[in-house]
Parts: sequence; C-alpha cells; structure tokens
Amino acid sequence: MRENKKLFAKHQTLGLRLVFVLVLSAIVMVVDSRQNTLDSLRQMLSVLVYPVQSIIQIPFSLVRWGEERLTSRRDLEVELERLRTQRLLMDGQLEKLAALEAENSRLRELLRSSYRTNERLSIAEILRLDTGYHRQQIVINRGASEGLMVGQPIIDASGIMGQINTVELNTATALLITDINHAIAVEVNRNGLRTVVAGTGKLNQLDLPFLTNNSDIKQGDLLVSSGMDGRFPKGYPVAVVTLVERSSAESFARIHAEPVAKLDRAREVLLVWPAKKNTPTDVAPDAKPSSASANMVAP
Amino acid sequence: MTATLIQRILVISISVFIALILTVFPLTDSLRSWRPDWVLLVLIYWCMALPWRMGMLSAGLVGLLMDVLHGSLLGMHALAMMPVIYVVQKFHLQLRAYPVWQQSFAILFFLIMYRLPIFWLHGMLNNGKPVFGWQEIIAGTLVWPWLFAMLRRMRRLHKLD
Repeated sequence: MRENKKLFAKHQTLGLRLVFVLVLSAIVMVVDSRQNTLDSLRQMLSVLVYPVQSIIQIPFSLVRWGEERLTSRRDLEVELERLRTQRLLMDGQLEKLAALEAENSRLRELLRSSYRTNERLSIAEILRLDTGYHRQQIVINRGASEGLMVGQPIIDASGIMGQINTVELNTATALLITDINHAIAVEVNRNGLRTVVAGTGKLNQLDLPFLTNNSDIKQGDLLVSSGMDGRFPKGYPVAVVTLVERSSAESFARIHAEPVAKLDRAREVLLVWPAKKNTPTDVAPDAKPSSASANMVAP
Repeated sequence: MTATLIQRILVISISVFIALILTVFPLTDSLRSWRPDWVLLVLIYWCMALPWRMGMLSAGLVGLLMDVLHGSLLGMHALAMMPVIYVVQKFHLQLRAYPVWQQSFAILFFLIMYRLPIFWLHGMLNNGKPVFGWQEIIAGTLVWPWLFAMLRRMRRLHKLD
C-alpha cells in the first residue's frame, strides 16, 4: 500500500509536473541554441554516453582488424608493386622539379634586370655552345622569324654577353664578347675613360689593348658599355679589370679584364631591341677607342 | 522479496543502455528508416510497469543523453517524450489491463505524439528537410509486443516490483 500512496500523491501532481517539465525543456533548448553556457553540461553528459559509442565501434573495428590480418599475401605483393612504380614515377618528377626551380629563378633574374631598360627585351635559349680555336660563339633558338637582326646585342642578368652574328630562320649565332673577333666600346665607370674591350678567344678573359701607361685605370674598375660603337646600348656592365701591368718598355699597358656576364653558365639570354637608333653623336675628346668599332661580319 | 535498489537501477539502466545503442548503431540507408524508437518504447514500458519509480524525471535525464548522442539541442528529446510519459503515467492501470494487440494501438498513438514535436522542431531549426518518420512509427508498433514480453520477462526474473 505504500506504493499506492506514493502513486496517489504523484497522480495528483502529474499535470503540474508536465507543465513544469515542458517549460523547463523549452528554456533549456532556447539557451542551448543561443549560447554556449550549456556546452560544459553537454560535455559531461557525453562522458556518460561514451560507453554507448565505444560499444558501437566494436563490430566495425573487428571487421577492419580482420581485414588487415587476413589480407592475402598476393594482395600485399600487388600493392607493394604498385607503390614502387608510383614512387619511381614521382622520384623522376621530383628531379625535374629541381631543374625547373633553378630555371625559374634564372628567368626571374633576367626579367628583373630588364626592368631598368627602356629597350624592348625578349628571352632566348642557348641551344649550344660553339667554342673552337679562338672562337666563342653560341647558338640561340630565335631567328629571322622573330625579327632578329645581325648586330643585335645579347645580355644576361649581369651584363653584356655579345652580339648576333648570323641569322637563320629560327636560330641565330652570336659572338660572345670573349670571341677573338669581337670588340666593344666601353667606358670606365669610375672616371668615364673611354676605351675598347676586345676578346681573346679565351673564355672569361678580355683585353684592353689601347690604353697607355699613364691611363687612369686600376684593378677592380668596372667597365660599362659606352654606346659609342652604335651597337650596344649605353650603360650595361661589360667587365671588371683584373690585371694592370705598366711596363716602360711598351707603349701600351697590359690590361686584362673578366666579363661580368656569366658566359659559361648561361642558359637563357636576353635580346635587346634598341628603342631608337643608336647614333654615336657624342664626339669623344680622347682619340683612340671610338673608331675601333664592333666586329667583322662573317661572310 | 523484491529486488534491491541497485538491482533495479542496474536492470533498467541496462535496458535503456541497449536501447540507446540500438538507436545510434550505424545502419544502411534502407534499414535506417525502419529503426523503431527503442528508447521511448523502453521508457514507456518501465513507466507503465513501475510508475512510482520511473517517471518524467528519468525520462528527462534519458532525453538529455539522447540529445548528446544525436547532437541535437539539449532538451529537444525530453520535450518530445514528456507528454507521452505523462499520459502513460496517468493511464498506466488501463494500459496494463489491455491485451497486447490493443496496447499496440496505444503505442502507435504514443509514437505519433512523440514524433510530432521532433518533426516540428526539426523544421523550425532548419536541420534539413524534416522527416516525420512513418516507417519508424510502424516499426515501433510492430516491435512493441515482442519488446513488452522481453522486458516483462526481465522484470519478473529480477523480481522488480
């Protein structure tokens, strides 16, 4: 009868309880939807609920475990072979990536150096190097079809490389400044002294044959193009003086210089289209260099 | 000769626990729509059999657990279950007197009453297209006789008053 008394009491308040509980649930729902205050409660409750979720996992984990343990050896071998092949392919692609990255940074440097000029520039690739007895030439992948002209200057990111010698339809040959047949009009950056730099046929060695013993030139001087030859645009770095030997027995000093452009390491070059015709209108007071103009055009 | 408190709590909790597992166990798409509302059915049974011990408070707590499991707003399942529990407690004597097939009709009615607020709230909260769940209701009605017999056997086995 104890139960009946309890039940009776409960029975009477049932309706009230329902209303109370409904209102409470509604309030909890609204609070939960608007704010984060109940999140801690939710977390606590999820601890209670955790056993339910972990038990649910059991059959799936078992199946997966079984699959792993019971994979046939044949399947594993096939998978291994496939992974090896894939790895091989990817390694190959990765090697190319290193080369591509290097090319990218070279091209960026070339383009960056082109910003300081007003002349039109375009990029060409070196197809091959032609260095024979005293010959320093390169072949590039642009030709008459792109509008190349004989005598057109070639530069790289650091300085002047040479000029176009012959032009075919889709390729062209260029003389490097170190070619024995090449000379370029320069001026010393420090004091404006004008002279000519000639090639020696040896890679990375240039000659300044026309300066007397009392010329104001010393080791380390930067030589830039003077534009006096009507070929090369003014102001591009050409070489750095490496050796100055003055001997009283000779009338001219022995002066060597090293090209600034990376002649042996270049892969892409820039072609310069002159913005306007380069006319040597400034008449230089110092005699010798100006007349020694560019090169001999190959037949 | 009735069971101790611990025994009672254990038996009821285990049945609710199993019902919770069945509610969230992953099923294939086709089977999923036929999942009965196990938790509600189990609670209905215990409130019918032991109305002075199990009531709205227990239903509320279990409702919170359901909310955490389903990820819904706290209080939603409790809100849906409360009216059903109220009716069960109010009419528990009549319900126990019904033959099982007649009980099933009552259960059908209860399940509909449970699904209505959930359907309404889902639509309101923009949780995607709200589903009323007729298939779940039918499955629950069909499962009830079996569930009732199972739980009654458990109750008598452990001598829960």
